[in-house]
Amino acid sequence: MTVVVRFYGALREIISEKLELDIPSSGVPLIDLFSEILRKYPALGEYIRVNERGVEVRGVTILVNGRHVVFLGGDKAVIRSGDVIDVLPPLHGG
Amino acid sequence: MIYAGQKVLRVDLTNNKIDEEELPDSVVEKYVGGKGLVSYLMYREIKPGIDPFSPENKIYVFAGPLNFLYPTFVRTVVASKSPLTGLFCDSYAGGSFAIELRRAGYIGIVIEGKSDKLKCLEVSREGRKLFECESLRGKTTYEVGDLFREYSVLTIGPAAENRVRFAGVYIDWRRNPVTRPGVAGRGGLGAVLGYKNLKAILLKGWLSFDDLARGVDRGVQRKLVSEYLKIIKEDVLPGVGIGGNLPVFKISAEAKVLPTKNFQLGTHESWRELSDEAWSKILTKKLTCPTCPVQCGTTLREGGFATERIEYETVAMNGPNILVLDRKALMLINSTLNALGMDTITVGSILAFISELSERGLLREGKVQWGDVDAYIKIIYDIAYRRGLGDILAEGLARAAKALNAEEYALHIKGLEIPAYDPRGVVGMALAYATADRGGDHLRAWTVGVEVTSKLTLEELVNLTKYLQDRNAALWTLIACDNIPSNAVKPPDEMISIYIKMLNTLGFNYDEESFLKLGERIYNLTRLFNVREGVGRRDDNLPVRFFKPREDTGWVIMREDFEKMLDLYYAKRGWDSNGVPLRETLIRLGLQELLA
Repeated sequence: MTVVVRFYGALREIISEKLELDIPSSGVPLIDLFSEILRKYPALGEYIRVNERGVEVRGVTILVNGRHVVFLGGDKAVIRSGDVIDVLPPLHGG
Repeated sequence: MIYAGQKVLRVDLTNNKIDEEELPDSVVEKYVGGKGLVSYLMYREIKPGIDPFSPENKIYVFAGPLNFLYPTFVRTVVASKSPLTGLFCDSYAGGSFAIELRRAGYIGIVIEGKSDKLKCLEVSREGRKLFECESLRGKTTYEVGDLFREYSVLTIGPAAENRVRFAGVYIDWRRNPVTRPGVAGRGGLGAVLGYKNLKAILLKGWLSFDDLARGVDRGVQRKLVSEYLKIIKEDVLPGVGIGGNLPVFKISAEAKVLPTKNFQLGTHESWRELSDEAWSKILTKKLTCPTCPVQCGTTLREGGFATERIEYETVAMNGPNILVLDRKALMLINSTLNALGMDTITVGSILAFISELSERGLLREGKVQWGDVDAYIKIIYDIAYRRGLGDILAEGLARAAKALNAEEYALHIKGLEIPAYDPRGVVGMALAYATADRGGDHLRAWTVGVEVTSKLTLEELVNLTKYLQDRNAALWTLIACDNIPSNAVKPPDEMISIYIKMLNTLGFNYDEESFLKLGERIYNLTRLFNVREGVGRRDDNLPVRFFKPREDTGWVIMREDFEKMLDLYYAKRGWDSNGVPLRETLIRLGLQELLA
């Protein structure tokens, strides 16, 4: 049972383009998934944090199967096998 | 009087009259300057339902009160009822105009009525006068700037004279400029000046720093300047790149939110040709606005082509969005648009629109292939001079799409063409676009920057949008440069705290909370202006394309998600379910005087 997490732009300087992660057949909450990713890639903490408030982001967008995760329950969203997660970096500029 | 130069110059073009009036302290205290004052005056003075092209419409050109006394607060706001959207519109430009305005003793100019003949307004120590200038008819923005090099020049190009509904207002455009030229590009405010037959405002101020710093504690002023410049050096300059927000091009392309082929795709394989790095190789000069150390103005030269002030939005909208990946072509498009005086975002969107219609066989005449630069240049001239299909396109994307029965392919919100970030990727921008007070705009709330850390919840996303809209409305009363917080590599909290201290040296008494409330008051005021013009929930919407999965990534905004987000936003703002501010909201914000 796996999910694919794809990273874009500056995030690829920290983490590879794509991670394939094993998850339980019952699925996994997004917060647990990102806790695991941050444990392996602590430098990602510049943009994404997991703490007592849950998952916090600094300009980062997280899409699950093309849909913003805030519409799917935010950090409580249950990620299931076959899901594709896209993590977009913050944008400087305006 | 709260600050020196709290006066407005009123110019009545119908009666050839120039008057000045002191703004009451009660108004200045509540609306400060810049966006605050123009929002207040527009609401009070522009009657609902009037045609933007009528003598009843007015145009406001204002500065902020920190201008000249503190570095970087040099921008000018131009505001009016937009001929493109029929709604409130404010647009900001760099350059030296606002400093000269303050040095002439004014916080703003209000232009009313309509002249029979083409005129210029001149303000200098010698006096104020309107003079006929029919000889300038048809002149480009560069030509007008060159004719009056000893002044700061605010002008319009031929497109505005021809009432192209997205013609801009240009400041200090000339060959070999000394200071960074500026453009108030959005919403067709130049066309309002064109309608009124005002070709240019020439300004040469005479007041000294001491004159404008009356009552300001110099010791505190010097300390604040020093603290601010340190922040700019450490937190802002590293994010600016060569200027013009061009570093964001790479980020957008890599994040797949770069508009490509009229937003059908999110990146292009040749994007590196137009990256910040590529432009850096042909950079010949950097210019800056007076008092600003940032130097974000670019002068570029390559193979016989040269241009000034190329920016991310221009490059993205007239680059991958129309499949032009050639720097020289981009320089030609940029220079042509700036000379004729038209908004580069709008034109990029229109060119993409007709390219897509041509490809789909939906255009009977004036077909154009993607990436055909010669054809695009011809269309740009046809728009500026309203020839053939150009006459329809000169009405703006929304009206043109309706006339051509092709609204599905027109990417605008409330008539303002959307800027160069696909909200199907950066979904945080969807609400920001839909609820921006001047139509499809990214600057009111830049929710995808590193400025703020937020929880991953819908409620926090909505709160962030509202917070940034309010905060920016307050910052634009000063008028702070919007390039500075958005390019900062650190959260700008300390910077904003300094801004408030700067404001208080003039005699105000703001803290973080009341400053944010000032912004909220202004945002509600501009909403009221739009509500009075008929805006409601149906207008706080996105183009249909964004509700369909993008073909390259499958990213999508679901209609029910968007509506839920809008419900939460209205509730957070204290607006009803149709987006109308509630009575208690207006009372809380001190706007009860506007209640019927």
